[in-house]
Amino acid sequence: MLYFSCTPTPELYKRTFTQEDLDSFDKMRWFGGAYQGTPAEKYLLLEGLKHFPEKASFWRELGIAGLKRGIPYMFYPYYDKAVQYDSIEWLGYRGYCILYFNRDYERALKDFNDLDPLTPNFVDHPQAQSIDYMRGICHLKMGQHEKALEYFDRHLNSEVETVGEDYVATYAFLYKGITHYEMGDKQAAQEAFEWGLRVHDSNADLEYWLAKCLLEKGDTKNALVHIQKAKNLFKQGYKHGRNYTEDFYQTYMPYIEALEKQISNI
Amino acid sequence: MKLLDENRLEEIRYNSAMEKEYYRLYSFKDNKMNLEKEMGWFHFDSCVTQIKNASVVNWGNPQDSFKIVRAFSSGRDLDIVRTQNTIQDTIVEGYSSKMFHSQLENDWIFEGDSVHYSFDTKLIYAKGMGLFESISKGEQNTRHMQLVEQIPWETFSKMKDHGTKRVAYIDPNNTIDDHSNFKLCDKEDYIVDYYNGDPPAGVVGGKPVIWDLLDKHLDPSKIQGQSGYMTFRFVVNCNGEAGRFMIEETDLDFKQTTFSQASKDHLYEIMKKIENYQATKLQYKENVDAYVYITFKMKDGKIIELLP
Repeated sequence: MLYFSCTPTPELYKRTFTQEDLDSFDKMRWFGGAYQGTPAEKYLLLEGLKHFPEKASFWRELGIAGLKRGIPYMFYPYYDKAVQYDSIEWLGYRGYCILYFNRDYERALKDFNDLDPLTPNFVDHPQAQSIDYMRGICHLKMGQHEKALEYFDRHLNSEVETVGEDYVATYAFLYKGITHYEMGDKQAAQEAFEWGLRVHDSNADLEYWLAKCLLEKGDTKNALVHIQKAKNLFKQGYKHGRNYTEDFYQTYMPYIEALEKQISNI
Repeated sequence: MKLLDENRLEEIRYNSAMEKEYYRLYSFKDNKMNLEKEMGWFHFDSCVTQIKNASVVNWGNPQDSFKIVRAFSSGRDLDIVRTQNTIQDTIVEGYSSKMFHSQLENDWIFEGDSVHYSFDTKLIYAKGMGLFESISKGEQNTRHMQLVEQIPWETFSKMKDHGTKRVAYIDPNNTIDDHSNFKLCDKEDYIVDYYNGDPPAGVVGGKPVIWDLLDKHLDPSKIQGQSGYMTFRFVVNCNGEAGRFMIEETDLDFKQTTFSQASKDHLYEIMKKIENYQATKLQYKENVDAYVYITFKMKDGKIIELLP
């Protein structure tokens, strides 16, 4: 709170913060409250950083609007400060941001790999995603398929063991299958997509990729069944996608229609 | 704050960026400070206040209550009832003060639904200074405000003239397109970001549409040797029209850079071939204007990714 005066005042008040005051501010979960990326938020955070120059969460927040709004140079320097002051908390999140928003797989992978030894015997989940799963995506996109499979399998085994197969997110099956597919092992790919569909029976992406495998095996009859399922599920909204960015290997209706046409013409 | 005359006080409350947030006019009569007028301006919203019982503080009668309804332009109403319970004399940092304890009941009302919040509130007024501290304890959180510094108006005027804009603001006077025929549907301050609405604002058909255009029209010689993130930022208005294009340039190490003019001109020419844009829609609202971006990520003269 800040007051100003239009009438002459002989002595204006200025508070001196005690260590006790600063300790109590430091415990606050929320420093004010302003919409992300607004001048109001910026000035709040800068005021906070005057008192707590090593507060990682303030630095991190300063960079988020630049990230979401497509300006990497307005994101990275701030997030870098957050990592500098609290690497255990923010390395994994930075890796997540760089992976999804900037598609810099080498740099994201380095963040995940640097984080892992800082938290021994623990699988980190920045932004609610396992770093093993995200390491799998990095290796897949870098064309390092064996390493990708290693991490997708590690992630799937860990999830099955800790939360049970029914609670494993669809995309781990999808990316494991795509990794096999890109390696040319269509049978293993098919098994991964079918495994995913046993757990999640309504998923356009798994159906689309399964149809691709079946077509390449020459099983056009079943390929047609699955591509039509993919089409219906896609229309109903049972499809891959995420907020802010396109997902990896996101399926679009023209892809499904092209494959359906290809299958139907055989 | 400004004393207009013996009995009237004008208060303008500013947010942390020194942008006007509330205008309030108070009067003083019979040991009471009464709210006579209130208006508010916020991010994407504003309010006018209907005053039902104007007594903000009552030095004479501890049991008085204050009732107002803030009607927001977004369609919500905030019904506020603050009932004063006790008044205590106190000293704060050497200043003779009065502490007003009250119970605050807030009801947010929107299209027949309402959400209720209760707060135990403490207001401390210091003699000669006005409101010194306020603490509102709710079930889930506590809001605590303290006077930090008094500054002369002249100093404040200079501070508030900072000219800082939102992150990723597009200055309409500094764009690469002639947008004289492009019209916003609402005020510039009400342009949202592409991810605020559902569906998000962007290109109808998504990235495959842009990849197709690149397949057909990209001349690799025009982007030869270029590396980094070339981001076209623009506005998609409520009618799905695009305008106010500008370019942000970042290298692969996340530092600001400059791409060749030929590469920028060429990719902008390809951008201009996009025919259909999706306007975004906020919950409970019609389509709105939105900031959108498309990034061409390049490495050694090749486009390796489209973002977001």
